[in-house]
Amino acid sequence: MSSFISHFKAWVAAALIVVFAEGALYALYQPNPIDRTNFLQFAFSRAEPAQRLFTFHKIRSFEHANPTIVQSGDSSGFYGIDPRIVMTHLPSDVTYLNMSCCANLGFRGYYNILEFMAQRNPSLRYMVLYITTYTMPRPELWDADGANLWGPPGLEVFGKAIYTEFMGPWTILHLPSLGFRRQVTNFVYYLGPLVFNVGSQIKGVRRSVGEAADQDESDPPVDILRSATNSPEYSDFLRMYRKTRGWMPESDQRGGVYAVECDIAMPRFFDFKTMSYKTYLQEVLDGFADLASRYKATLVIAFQPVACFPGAKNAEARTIVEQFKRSHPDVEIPFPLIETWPADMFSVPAHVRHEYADRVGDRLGKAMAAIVARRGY
Amino acid sequence: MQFNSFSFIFVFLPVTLAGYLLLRKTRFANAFIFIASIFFYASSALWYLLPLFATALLDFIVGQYIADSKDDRFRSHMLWLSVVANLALLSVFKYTTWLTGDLSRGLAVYGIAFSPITLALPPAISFYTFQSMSYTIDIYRREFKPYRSVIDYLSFVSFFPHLVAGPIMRARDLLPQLARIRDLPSASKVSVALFMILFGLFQKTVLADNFGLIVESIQRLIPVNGLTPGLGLVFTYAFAFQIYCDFAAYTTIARGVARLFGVELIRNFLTPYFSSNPSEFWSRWHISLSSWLRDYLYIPLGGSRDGRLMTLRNLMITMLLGGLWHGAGVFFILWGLWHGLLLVLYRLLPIDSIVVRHLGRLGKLLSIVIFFHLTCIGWIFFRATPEQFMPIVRSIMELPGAVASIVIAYEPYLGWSLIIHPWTLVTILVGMVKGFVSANWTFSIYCWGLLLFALPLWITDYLGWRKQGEFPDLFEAMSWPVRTVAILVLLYGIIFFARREANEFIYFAF
Repeated sequence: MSSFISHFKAWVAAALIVVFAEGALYALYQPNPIDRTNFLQFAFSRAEPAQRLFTFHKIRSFEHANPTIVQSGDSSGFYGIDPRIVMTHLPSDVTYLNMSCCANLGFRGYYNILEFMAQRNPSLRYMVLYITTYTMPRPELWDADGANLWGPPGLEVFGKAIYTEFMGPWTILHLPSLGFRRQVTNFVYYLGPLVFNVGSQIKGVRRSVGEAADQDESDPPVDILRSATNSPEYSDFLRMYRKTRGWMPESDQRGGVYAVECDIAMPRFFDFKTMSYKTYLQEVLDGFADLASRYKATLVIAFQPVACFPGAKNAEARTIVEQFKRSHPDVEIPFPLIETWPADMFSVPAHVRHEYADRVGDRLGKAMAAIVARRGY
Repeated sequence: MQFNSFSFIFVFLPVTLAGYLLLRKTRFANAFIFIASIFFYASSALWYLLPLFATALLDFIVGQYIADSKDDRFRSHMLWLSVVANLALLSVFKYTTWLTGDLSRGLAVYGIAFSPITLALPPAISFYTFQSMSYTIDIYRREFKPYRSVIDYLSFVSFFPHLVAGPIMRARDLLPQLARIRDLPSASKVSVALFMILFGLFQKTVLADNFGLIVESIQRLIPVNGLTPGLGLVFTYAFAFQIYCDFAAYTTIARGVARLFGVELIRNFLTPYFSSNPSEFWSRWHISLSSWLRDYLYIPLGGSRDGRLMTLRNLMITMLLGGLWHGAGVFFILWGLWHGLLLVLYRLLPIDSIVVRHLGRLGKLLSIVIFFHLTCIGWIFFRATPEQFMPIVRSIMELPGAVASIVIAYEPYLGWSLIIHPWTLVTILVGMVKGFVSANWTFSIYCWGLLLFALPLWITDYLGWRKQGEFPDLFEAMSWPVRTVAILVLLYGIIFFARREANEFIYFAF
């Protein structure tokens, strides 16, 4: 037996060292569990996608914020809904948090964020799914992860990662040392300050965080300086974020937004539970309703105003939403699927211009006030 | 299921191993391994099982018929049935998309509309069809007797450690191991097996995946701004290291996992980039495929029996088909032809032995470096698309010019510096490097990354090569403190530097 164990002496010693080192790190620094994940890439010479950074810092900042209402969804809500405006309509002890990020999260991501917040915040009474008709449910936004939707190559749907890294069973393997990955990779990949300094002299910090969010294909993927996370504007950005409870003013390049008929595709799949075809929209709405009832919260589905208008190309989607509303009296849907606003109020089809953020905030605030008054909190 | 996933390492493997250990001495052991293998393989898509079972069951039945028959014509017909069915299945899945795509483009020139057919490629089909074919061929050659238990046979074809990306095991090597009740692996074997798994995970997640990041990043630059001088070279080196680390990692993990089940899989790599000639390279790279091609293609074609010209022809045919085995596309064929050409030229002029004779150890080093670069040329065909090929080559050709322009800019100061003070020379040289880095920033960054990830590879491969093995083979010879350090370095290497985006093993696509 002892000779059997002697063959594993090195493994036992390594395990003991790991336990000791990790225990010491934990005792000395107590790294935040959100930092102790693999959610951010910290890859060699590649910028962290801004979408991941936004999501990461929202989760890190607001994990235990104890809100009454949490909003999740695509970038229409991220740039559109300023919680401070919404809260002016609500009772003083009702708090609102904007956890929306972007369609790159996918509906699975919006779902996971709501569940994550519900697990950690017993105060949560309302889950707001805030979306635009431009990013309605489809396979790659619900079932799959990793699809490249738009934007810079390599920026993929990553909603499942919220579950894997912050909620899944493997989080028990997130050692304290993972919390130091950024510092270690900075040191090894860039020899600490040496390459940073050389790089700064040669190139300067080329991109601010805002620009990183809008980087396009012409932007080379070389990012030795980790410009997003190491730029001086970054801490300003985080401070603002916390002050606004998750809102960011839109800073899109102005493109043409035109008033055309909304074209909403309704892809289907065969549902083995009901042995019939079902649209992804139905599946997603059902899923969110189940989630809310599981956490004894009220689901509020809010649609962002759009520049496009109702018509035959979106009739099916509107019918599905109406049917869902009738069959789920426990779910609140305060606005129609398509509420047309003048096209010049939009920076891009999915985003209301920042100068109109107060109008979108007021719109939702009034609706939430009515709901809260009716249902309590 | 992926070797580099938590669910494999912490759930599938321990559960399967525990189940096997419980059933080890019963006749259910192989049935259990077979079911586990099927789960491992089909967890992402059930339909993958259809071609797997079609191939395996056909060859099992054909094998029985061939063994039971004394009629040579019948035996020969049965063998043809097996070979044609296997190759047809492989060709349909592997080449339909490519051929119909090309056909569609060709017909479009004449105004004829034809929709290309797109078929998903079941993982591992190239591996298990070759493996299964070798079973019937060996029976036909009377080199192997078939096993009557279909479960034993299916567990041989589907044995999960090597199913998806090899090594391609022959029935005569693996089936006898699986069919008997195996002893428990010794403690030292288990310890080495665990180290092989850990080292393989490091090779895959830290080295291969990060080399892959460099490769992908450079590829993305091509359509945007083209490639600056030298980036093509970094791309080529990075891919050479990526494909090696990726594939070798899979095999190393596969061998480690198999050992836990008391099974020995053959070695598939032996520090191939230390080869000094093409013959040596193919005895060190993807050994199970090259020996398969030798035994079932090159030798039946005549090998080196029918004179020099026929030998050269046979080499070219074998390597061309080897290229086609790897993938559907003209560039895979060119890759095979390139290696065929290298082998042919080497037969005509064994240059490394001449160099070694004249220059000794320096000659050996020179041969290794030269042959590594010849291999790298092949990798450009393997990885680049036709649109990327010329920008990559152009970027490589432009590197000497970029270096020369810096040297020329500083050249007037070099002579004077020696007269003034030797330290002035050092300052000027540092200035030259800075000037080069400044003018070639992107190239310099990727060079740095390449160096960073190549260093562990060079060290581990060099240590393995010196002992005529691979790095994990050295584990047993290490003292326990050194082993502890090695384990910790690999473990924390994975924790800190493993690339986080999920990355499949490259050879899953073959």
